[in-house]
Amino acid sequence: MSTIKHAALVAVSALGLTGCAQNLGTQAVNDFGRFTALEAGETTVMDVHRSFGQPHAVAVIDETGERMWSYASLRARTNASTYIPFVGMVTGGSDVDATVATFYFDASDRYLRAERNEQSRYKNMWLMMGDSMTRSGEADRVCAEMARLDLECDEQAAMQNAANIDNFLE
Amino acid sequence: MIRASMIAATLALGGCASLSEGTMEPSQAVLFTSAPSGAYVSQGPRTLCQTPCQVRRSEMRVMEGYTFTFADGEAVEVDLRTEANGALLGNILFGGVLGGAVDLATGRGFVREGHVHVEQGAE
Repeated sequence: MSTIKHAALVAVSALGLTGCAQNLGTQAVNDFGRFTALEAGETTVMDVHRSFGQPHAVAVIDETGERMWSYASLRARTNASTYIPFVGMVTGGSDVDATVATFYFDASDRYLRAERNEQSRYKNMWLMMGDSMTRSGEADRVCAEMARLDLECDEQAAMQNAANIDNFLE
Repeated sequence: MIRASMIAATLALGGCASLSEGTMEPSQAVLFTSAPSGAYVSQGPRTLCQTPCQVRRSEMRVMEGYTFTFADGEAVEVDLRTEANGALLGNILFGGVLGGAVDLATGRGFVREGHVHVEQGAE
């Protein structure tokens, strides 16, 4: 994936800061019905993909072969101090309400359990810029996981979600 | 000059954030894994989670070690006090996991930034 595309997505996300609020990620993590349908040892990684869609982040635990798929729902609002002349240059940023769901799978792609966390945090715009400049490679990992499962990767969504994670969660 | 210094400082802090690839909020949470999986991770009397799992740093006590209790009741201690030095202080301040040692009498494993892994059974 090109660096230019990634930079463009980061820029679009950053421009969003100037608006009042934006919803990012997936609302699926707020639908409890989808979680109750999951059964440890029975549900597979493909079932989770069908229910929640392409993951936003993928991690492989090398020591055990277990995998983690994560999804996020974000609501970002411009912090009030951003609008204060001069002060906003330093303290400006976003107030972010985030819900993160993480699904664990064993080495044979069977669902083990899910975690769901809600949090609110403030992210300074300078930190956000710093995180945006250090590419995490998340989109590449997600697409590699989709390729492993013979699933089509939505590259644009993968890059947008990676930019959201870089900007608001890390 | 001051502004440039502040920008540099905040950018440098941003660079410290990415500790564990592929996990969301790598600077906010610690990943616990074990072999075999399903061990209960506790701090003192408080059970944190069952491996594999992530726990937010704000939900843990900073300078206290962990106990991994496996299905057969065997417990492996992770002692965080063994590497109390300057580098460790940096980890505490900037979001890493403490350095530490796994009880070699009962298990193997490692403590890295953002990830604690324990294997049952000594070599």
